Amino acid sequence: MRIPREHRLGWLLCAPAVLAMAAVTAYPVLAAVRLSLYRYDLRFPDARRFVGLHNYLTVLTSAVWWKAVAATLVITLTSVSVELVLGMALALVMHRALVGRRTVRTAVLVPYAVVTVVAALAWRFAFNPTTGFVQGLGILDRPWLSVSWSAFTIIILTEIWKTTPFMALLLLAGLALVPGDALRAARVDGASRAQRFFRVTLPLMKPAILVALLFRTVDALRIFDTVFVQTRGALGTQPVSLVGYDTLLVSLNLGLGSAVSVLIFVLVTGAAVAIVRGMGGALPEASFR
Amino acid sequence: MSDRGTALERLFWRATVLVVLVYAGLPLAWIVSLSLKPAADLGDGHLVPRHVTLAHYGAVFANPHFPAALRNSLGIATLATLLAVALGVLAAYAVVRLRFPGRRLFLGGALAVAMFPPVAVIGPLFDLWRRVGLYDTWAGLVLPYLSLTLPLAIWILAAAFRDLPWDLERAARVDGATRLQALRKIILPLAAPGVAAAAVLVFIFAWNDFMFALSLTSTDHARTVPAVLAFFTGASRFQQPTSAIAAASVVVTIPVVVLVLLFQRPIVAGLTAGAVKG
Amino acid sequence: MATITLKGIGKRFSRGAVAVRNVDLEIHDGELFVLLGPSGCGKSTLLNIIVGLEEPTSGTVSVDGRSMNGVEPGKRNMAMVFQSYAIYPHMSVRENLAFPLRIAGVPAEERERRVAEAAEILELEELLDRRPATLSGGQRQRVAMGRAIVRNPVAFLLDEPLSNLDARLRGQMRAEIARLHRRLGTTTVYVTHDQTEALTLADRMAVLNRGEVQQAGTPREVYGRPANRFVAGFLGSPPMTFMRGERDGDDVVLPLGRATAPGGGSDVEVGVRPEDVREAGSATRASADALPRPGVGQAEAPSDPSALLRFRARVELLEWLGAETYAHVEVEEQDARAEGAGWGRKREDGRPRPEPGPSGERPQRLVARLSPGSPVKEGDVVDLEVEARRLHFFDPDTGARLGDA
Repeated sequence: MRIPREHRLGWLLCAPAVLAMAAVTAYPVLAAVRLSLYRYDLRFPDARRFVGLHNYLTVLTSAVWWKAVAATLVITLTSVSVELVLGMALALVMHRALVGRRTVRTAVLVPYAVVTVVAALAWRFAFNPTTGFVQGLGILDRPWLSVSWSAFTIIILTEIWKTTPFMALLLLAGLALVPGDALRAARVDGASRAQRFFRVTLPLMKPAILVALLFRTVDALRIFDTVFVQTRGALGTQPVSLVGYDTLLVSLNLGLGSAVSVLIFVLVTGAAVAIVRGMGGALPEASFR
Repeated sequence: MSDRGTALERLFWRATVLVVLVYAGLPLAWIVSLSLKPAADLGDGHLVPRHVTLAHYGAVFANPHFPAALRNSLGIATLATLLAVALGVLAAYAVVRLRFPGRRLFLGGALAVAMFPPVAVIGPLFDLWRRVGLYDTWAGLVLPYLSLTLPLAIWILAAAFRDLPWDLERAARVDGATRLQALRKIILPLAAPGVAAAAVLVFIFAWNDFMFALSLTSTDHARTVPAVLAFFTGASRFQQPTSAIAAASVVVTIPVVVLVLLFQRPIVAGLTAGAVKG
Repeated sequence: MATITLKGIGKRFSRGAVAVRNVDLEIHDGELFVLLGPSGCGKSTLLNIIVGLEEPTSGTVSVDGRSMNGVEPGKRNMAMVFQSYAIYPHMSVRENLAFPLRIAGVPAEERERRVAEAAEILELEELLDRRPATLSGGQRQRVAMGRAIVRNPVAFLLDEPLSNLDARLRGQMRAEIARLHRRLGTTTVYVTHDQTEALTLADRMAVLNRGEVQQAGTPREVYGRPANRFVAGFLGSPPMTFMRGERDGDDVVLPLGRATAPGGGSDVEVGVRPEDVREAGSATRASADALPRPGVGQAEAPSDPSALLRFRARVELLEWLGAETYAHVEVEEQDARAEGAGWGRKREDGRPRPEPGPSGERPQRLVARLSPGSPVKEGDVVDLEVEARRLHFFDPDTGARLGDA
């Protein structure tokens, strides 16, 4: 059978993107899976040998890994849930503001665009007893980044500050999809402001909410920059990415580090699948079409 | 709604806008303030510096690492942006305009890449890059940035293309243009806002990345600003060069803020309005 | 100048939907050919296949005998006007007109000359340096036409070119297109769902439904002798009324009376156009009294009164349109009508006349065109008549025209 011209052209045009994406994701992931089955320490490259699932056993029985999983989940769940509410508020402001709508939209983009390392530094300085202003408010009598819960607070605050705009923009796209006629009809039908929001707007926005949740959750699970800059993983704030980084590039233990990498990959993929399944119906792919 | 209600509403919205501005601007304002304060005033807790000095900026640029990092950041982010937009345009065109087997698979794959955890690949990339000579080079960072931003680029470009009246492309092809000519002369000029948006977002990603820069570079040869900033931080445990870091942070923030301001402007949004129907 | 021949054209989309099925058409050199049909009938797909924007799944398109299969749209030297006009919004009017020439590599000097020529024909001179966004709907339409004529194409393809204009402008542009076609004499394929455009503009036309050509011919042929029920119902406004005719020997019995029907021994479906129904006697009176306005009395009186169906009906609704009046009527029971009017023929076998239909059936409704001066009021019972030769007979199962078709 002759392959239609349109098919060949489609493949041809997508090929460069496919190659580029596969080169940095599919191939290394497979390489990581292979490496994770070896003892492979760059400090002792000659001692490389196949060890089966031993590396996974090491990781899964270590307290460091599980503490890191806990820290990652705490950061992710807290920041994403606050961001969802805050992001919705921000989206409504961007959508409805009678004055300064452009200003708001521009202002909101700033945290999104700022280098994460800079954001982390800015908040660290703000909470630092000598260079900051928060200490002066007298909420805490010790340096914030010396206590576990307050260190978490700063990390989460930084995440929220930096990524709520992204959430808000995705939600704004969803808000724009709600037909004005549906809201006007609900108003004529006597629905109150709150009823209109919860009965009409929210259900119609469900796909957008799902997409926003999906992207932000997956993104939060990867948290690295903020923690690296603010605590370097101290005080129990070490997330899984940092464990992976330290094992791979500080200890140079590629075998064990790859096992951590693969586990993180599984964790993130599992979370993504769970969100899509949990929300059901609205395919994230819808956002592509 | 009465006039008084409207006035009240306007007041409400003004206050809301102010809150958003403070939210977005305060941390940055603080870091700008720190970068301008003389060392003695660092701990005074004032947002508006009592004395202003540019000495820290001078110091930052005197440090040989920083200008090199700035150059690396600019070069690498620009290259990644150009490539991602170029490849993204081709793929987005195919996705929007052509029906072919594997199209959905391609989109699904791109979506998966968009959610990809970088830490899952830095190990093998570190290993591979060192063996093939990409470690600590521009290309060694451009490639991961290109790959990981392609989904975003394709997404934005596909959305922009989808909004174009496709009759224009069909007309161009009837008028004698090839698909490529139609893409270049009709689609791209009209999708310019979308192309700009994609480019800006790819640039921001590349400009912001920390983990790859940290893992795949080691010297001024390719190390980018975020990695250098973090390196500043770790240099001295006891006396942190806060002012210098603040100054460097401000410098590295300026380009993205400028981009965001430009991007937000309604870039010829009305261009297509009126092309189709009234 | 070109003859466009379509042979066995079929188009099936990848999801399995069939857009066009086995279309054979010949569009003669220099004629204005209209593809008419309801939305989704495949007429636009057919146009896209002719111009090469879509590839047919089967069949060939040829221009002057040369097959166009696989030829890029740009290489076919056809020009297309889109429903949306598809004016390039980032180019001035002048640049829009010049675009096909620029792509073709026409030297700047000639380009300018031809743009000026096209602009003159379409009275666009004043607008050449304007941006499309500043143009009115009618102006945009003319720019689209201008871009089409500038390259001297072998054919113009117009896809619903007037449907985005308001009614007044539409009439104006319709006349302009007719003038332009007369002046340039270029083969033109014109797609529309508007029967007025089709009937007024077409040299010949084809009616499409569900991807198939229902009938091709001149507007008079298609309107006067619709090949099937679909065409009969699609053309005409208000549309033809259809009713069941029960077979009785060579005759069929209609709610309106008896008529001789072609075809085999089965029942038929009968169509009556509103303009073929008139107030009883008006035609005879018209000829007998020699009314000064000859148009009013429809046709001359039939020589054979038995070829006339006369019936009584109650007027339910009158639509007065100024130049004419349409009466929506309900036909009264046949017996009373037959006895009262006395035009009904007796059955030759002497059996009682069959009932008009199963009892309890809905009364037959009908639209009749009356003269605007008619004194008839809503609620009146009037005597109406229709000439038997004006009836259209169709096979109730296949919908195909019976008899003279």
